[in-house]
Amino acid sequence: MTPAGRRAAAALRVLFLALVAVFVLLPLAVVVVSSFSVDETGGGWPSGFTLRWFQRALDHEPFRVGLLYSLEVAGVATVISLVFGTMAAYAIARHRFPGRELLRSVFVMPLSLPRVVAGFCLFVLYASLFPAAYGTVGGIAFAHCLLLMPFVVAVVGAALAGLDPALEEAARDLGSSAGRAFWHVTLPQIRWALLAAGIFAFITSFDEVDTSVFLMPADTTTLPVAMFLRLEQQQDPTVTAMSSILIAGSLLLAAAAAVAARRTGGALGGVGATAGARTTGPEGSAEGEPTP
Amino acid sequence: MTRETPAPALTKEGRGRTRERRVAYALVAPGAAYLVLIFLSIVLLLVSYSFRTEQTSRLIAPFDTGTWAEALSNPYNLAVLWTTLRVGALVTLLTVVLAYPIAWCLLRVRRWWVAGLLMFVIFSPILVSVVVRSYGWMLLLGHGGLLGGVLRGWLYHEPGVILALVHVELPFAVFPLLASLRNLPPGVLEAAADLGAPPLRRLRTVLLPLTASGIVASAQLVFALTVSAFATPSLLGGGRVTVLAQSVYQNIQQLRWPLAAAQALLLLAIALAVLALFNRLSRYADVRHRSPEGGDSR
Repeated sequence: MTPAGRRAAAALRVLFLALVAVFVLLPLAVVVVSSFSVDETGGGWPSGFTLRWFQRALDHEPFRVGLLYSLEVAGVATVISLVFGTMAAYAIARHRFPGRELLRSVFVMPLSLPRVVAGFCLFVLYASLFPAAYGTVGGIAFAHCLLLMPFVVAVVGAALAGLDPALEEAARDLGSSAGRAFWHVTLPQIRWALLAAGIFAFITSFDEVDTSVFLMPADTTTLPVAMFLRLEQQQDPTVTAMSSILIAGSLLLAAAAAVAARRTGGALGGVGATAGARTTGPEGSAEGEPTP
Repeated sequence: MTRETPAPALTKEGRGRTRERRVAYALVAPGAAYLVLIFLSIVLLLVSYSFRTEQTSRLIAPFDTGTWAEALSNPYNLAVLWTTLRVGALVTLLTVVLAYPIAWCLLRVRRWWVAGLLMFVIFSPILVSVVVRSYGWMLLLGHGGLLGGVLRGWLYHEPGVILALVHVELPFAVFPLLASLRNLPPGVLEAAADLGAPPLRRLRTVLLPLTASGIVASAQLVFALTVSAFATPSLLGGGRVTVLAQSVYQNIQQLRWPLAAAQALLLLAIALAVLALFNRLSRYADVRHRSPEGGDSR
């Protein structure tokens, strides 16, 4: 190709990617702009700007209650799935035992389960066996662990696979217990992977609708479900303002996760591995930036 | 955690291995038990509920195939099934066709910060609630919205649902393609060009076959996510477009649990069938690009 042709091709690629970026960002941008608009119906260019929708969104009872509810559920679900997911990932990465490969696939299996099916199933499970769990933080967090665990196992597993087991063995040989060796030697090395997994798990749980909507009565729900139920009835500027707050929060956490992922090198690959786990299997974890 | 019990017959090494196994099982036990409980309950509860006609919360009810007959023969339910598959197929096709050039161009961005920024732009929407992203499209397509004039009538109809779903699933399609394009053996395209293959032929005979496994993986992921999507079709469809996931939810609200169970099982069956089908396809794709003339050409 001639230099001019190459430059034209490069310009075309830049143009195409710019258009893609517009397509990706447009729905988010329109929400943010509309949330500052004085107009009742958003979507166009505002005729004036105001902050009152934010005030109203935070005063709106279902949203205020829902925000706290969502934070509690996400916190509980993240901690549980981090603890049990890390334990499982550690066992699978470091120990050789019969059934290891089977367990590895059991832990990614929930990814092929449609979330609505999981929601319906847990709803029936609660309705027929544990009525007390319906509409509680614990019940919903318990359900969310199903969605978070595969992700934690993949990210933490990828981080553990990149470590040198000799360090932990050295600690054991020098007389520290298995627990101490894990706590002082292994854990500090995977802390960024844990942070990335934790952030992603927290956001996933916080934003969850498809499973959660089955597990609570319509009058007291988590925030995204409250917004979903309200949008099914009507569009109004309080939802827009609340959406803007969520976009800001998500992007801040996304930036934090990106930084954490850079530190681990492989964690973003873990995100992809989870996304691709049901398809590509272990080779998916080869993706991700190589650590320098 | 299990304490070591004295087992004199074992050698020191053997004892160590048994102990190690016990520790491993103790570590995976809580997570695995939880998952097994859920999987078992899915099979038992869904199957049990789908084979009854009355809504009761008892675990055992009289066996009845009426619900299945309704799920599979009622015209409305069949239309829902057909919509689910049609929307799934269209969204998969459009998303992968859009994602492929995105992945290709992304890998050719020279400046590292531009590449990083573009990656962030494309992947960070995964972290924004699906409700918010769908709402953005409702605003854009709605009356007085930025695109409301050009794309009139898309909101609360299938095109709007498809557009929003393509937007939601796009990052998931780009990811496997990036991996696959990155693993392209260096120089094959230049070699094809040097041998005189025109661009379209290079695409058809070199690029696409070598990245077939990435395309299959990407399509599989998008299809699986799309057929089980709930919030986006509910909001953009506005009750006029109904897919299986919504139908399950609506049937629960109307206290038709058995029908909801049958439809949930149908949804699960579609998800698993697609998984199996695409796994076969990807094996085929792999075999093709490992064929003799490809060999170990690096």
